[in-house]
Amino acid sequence: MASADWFSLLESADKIALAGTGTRKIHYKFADGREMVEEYNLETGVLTKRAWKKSNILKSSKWDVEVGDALSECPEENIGLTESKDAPFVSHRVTKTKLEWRVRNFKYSSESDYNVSLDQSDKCIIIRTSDKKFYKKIPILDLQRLNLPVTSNSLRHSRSLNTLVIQYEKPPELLAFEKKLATELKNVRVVDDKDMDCRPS
Amino acid sequence: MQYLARWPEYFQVAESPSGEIMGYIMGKAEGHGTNWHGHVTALTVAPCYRRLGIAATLMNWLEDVSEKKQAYFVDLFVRVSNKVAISMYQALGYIVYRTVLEYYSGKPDEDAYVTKVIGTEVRDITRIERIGAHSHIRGLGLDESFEPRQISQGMVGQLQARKGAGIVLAMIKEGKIAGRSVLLAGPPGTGKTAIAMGLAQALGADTPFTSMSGSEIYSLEMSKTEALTQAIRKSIGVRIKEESEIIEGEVVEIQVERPATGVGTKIGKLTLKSTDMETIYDLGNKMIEALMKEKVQAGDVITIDKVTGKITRIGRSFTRARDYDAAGPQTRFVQCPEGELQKRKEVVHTVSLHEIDVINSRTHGFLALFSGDTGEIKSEVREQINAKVSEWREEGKAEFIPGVLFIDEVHMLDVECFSFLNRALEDEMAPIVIVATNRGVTRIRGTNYKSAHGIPLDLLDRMVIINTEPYSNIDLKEILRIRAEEEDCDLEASALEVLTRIAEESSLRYAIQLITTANLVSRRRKATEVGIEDIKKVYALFVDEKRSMQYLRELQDEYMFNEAENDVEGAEKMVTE
Repeated sequence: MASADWFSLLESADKIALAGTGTRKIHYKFADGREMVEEYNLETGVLTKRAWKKSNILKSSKWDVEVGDALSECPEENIGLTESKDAPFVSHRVTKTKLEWRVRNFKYSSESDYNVSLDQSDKCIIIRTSDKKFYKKIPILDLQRLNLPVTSNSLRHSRSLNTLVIQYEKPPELLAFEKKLATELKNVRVVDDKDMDCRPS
Repeated sequence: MQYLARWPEYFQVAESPSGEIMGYIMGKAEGHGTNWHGHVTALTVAPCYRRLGIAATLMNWLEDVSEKKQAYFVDLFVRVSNKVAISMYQALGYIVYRTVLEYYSGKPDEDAYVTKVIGTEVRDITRIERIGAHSHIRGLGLDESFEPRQISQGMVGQLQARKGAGIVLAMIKEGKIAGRSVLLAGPPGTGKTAIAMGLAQALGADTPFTSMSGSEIYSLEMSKTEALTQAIRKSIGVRIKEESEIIEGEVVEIQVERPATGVGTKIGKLTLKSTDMETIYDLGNKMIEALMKEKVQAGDVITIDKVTGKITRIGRSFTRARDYDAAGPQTRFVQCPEGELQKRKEVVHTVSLHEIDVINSRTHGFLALFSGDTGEIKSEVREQINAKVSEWREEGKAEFIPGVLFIDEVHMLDVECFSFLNRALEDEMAPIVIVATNRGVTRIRGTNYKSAHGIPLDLLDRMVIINTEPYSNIDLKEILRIRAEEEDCDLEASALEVLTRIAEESSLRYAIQLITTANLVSRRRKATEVGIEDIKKVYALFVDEKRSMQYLRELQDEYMFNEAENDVEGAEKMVTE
């Protein structure tokens, strides 16, 4: 998908903005039935959360979090299968200049036990461990959408306090795109609580 | 010599490095069902090689062979006086199970019967499955050109009816024609249900087949038409292509802990691995039950749908291929999956319209307490779903699979249901409806009108009718033989002959009942085969319908609420109908 495609998709979507305390939420509704919610920090203008929802009548759909902390699941809704709480899990964050992934519960301390590499063709970060207990392929969605190349010298990783932090320097094209999107989002209609259709009695 | 010919795998000789024979073991496998076991016939070690553990090695080898043959235990006989041997067997984990008097011929000596249980694995629970009345049927028994074979796939005789069913099968497989109806008519015990079951088996697991009895619709929880609509919608499958998130991996371990009190929630852990990673999952009650139901064991490669929780067994991992005993004929060996355990995959799943209805009508929160899955479903929900599914079909995302709705004892439906069916069959999404009845010209339920098979003429007109005829002598014999085999019961040739006579004179069902009971009686007298005397015994113990009638007529005065002669006449009339 070329950069123009992604931008025009966002542009054509049905958008609504919601003002929160210190944040601004944008709700996108796409023509194919998908929904996306973004949450921006008003002070820094940085994306703090992005989640997707696909419509489906076969099952009740849930929000799929791409950026920010995952939503806690209601135990009754669960199918009865949860990953053990000691298992490593990944969360994605965005800062002003970097894309950042944190792998928590990452118990491998020495560099020789794990390996972080880049897959150029799939635009993915791959984490492997020598004991073959953990393997994760993290797609760099922001770069995939804009069809930007990945370079291994933008990638850094460090580990402390059982957490592996992977950072990827945002390329200038992505920074330019975010700027363009921010100006576009300024003129999205803001909905207040008063505009709600349903009036609670 | 006879032993060597029958169980060549049960012979082993221990040779010394110089090539001398140090000892040998011979054995056999025998028994039925849970009694299937290995038996040690002889074990001898040459005097100069004793006390080297050769006997123990040979015994272990024999246990391995028995284990591979899925034996439940190994047993052997030993003289009570042979103290050395008994202590050796006890050291190997055998226990004295019972004593048999005068086992060794010629000497009035006592013998101890020693046995040991091996293979107390999951298969103890999973292998014993209950036997249903039609469990021997595996298909319609037709060849490629729809010609019925005399005896095939558990079906016997009834050639015309089976041929007809074969053509119906082709019609269903074609999938184009919806809303046809087939009536199976014939006297009781002529295999109507068997043909329907065979049809279901021949259609395969992918075509929805709903089987219900006519009286099932009379429920206090929902109206008759709702029950019929649900049955119809259960019989229409929708094949949906969808990208969904699944967990795919090889099972390393399943641990389930039950609370000590026996009640309360179970907790468990499931370890899954791929070639690159391994993850431990905590299991909830629902998932534990689903895993038990699917009989998932360590070494299986499974997928779990992350949203619906559906478990699919793909096969067994190649690395476990040496576990020879777990391999049934359907076991597929697959590679351990690669990469991450969680994947997005394009999956095709078949769900029935009824399932989609239920998922979408379920009320959330505490309201779910008041409406179970079986409650009535609003017609708006159905309409919405029909519209959505049609939309998907046009987009190429979904595909309809018209299935089969089988209604047994269809004369139990009343006139309202028949007129509802009349209308429902005209719908483009209607399944093929197969109905069966054993009634002749009789009253239509809910009216005073009489009609053939108890079905109104207008509906009867829409049906193709397949007639089943009473079985011939040879067919009866064959069916009884198949049933005896299915129930793990060996019949003597003469006993089978007697049973066939009984089946001819009273009924096939009664004769089948006698197989099970006679088998129990024969086991009581420790016989391996059911003989004539066993059949005689149960024939005397359990009366058939004709003799019971006779008995009632003779002794009716002694029964309570006995009105008059006409009652007996009425009962007789019912039977002749």
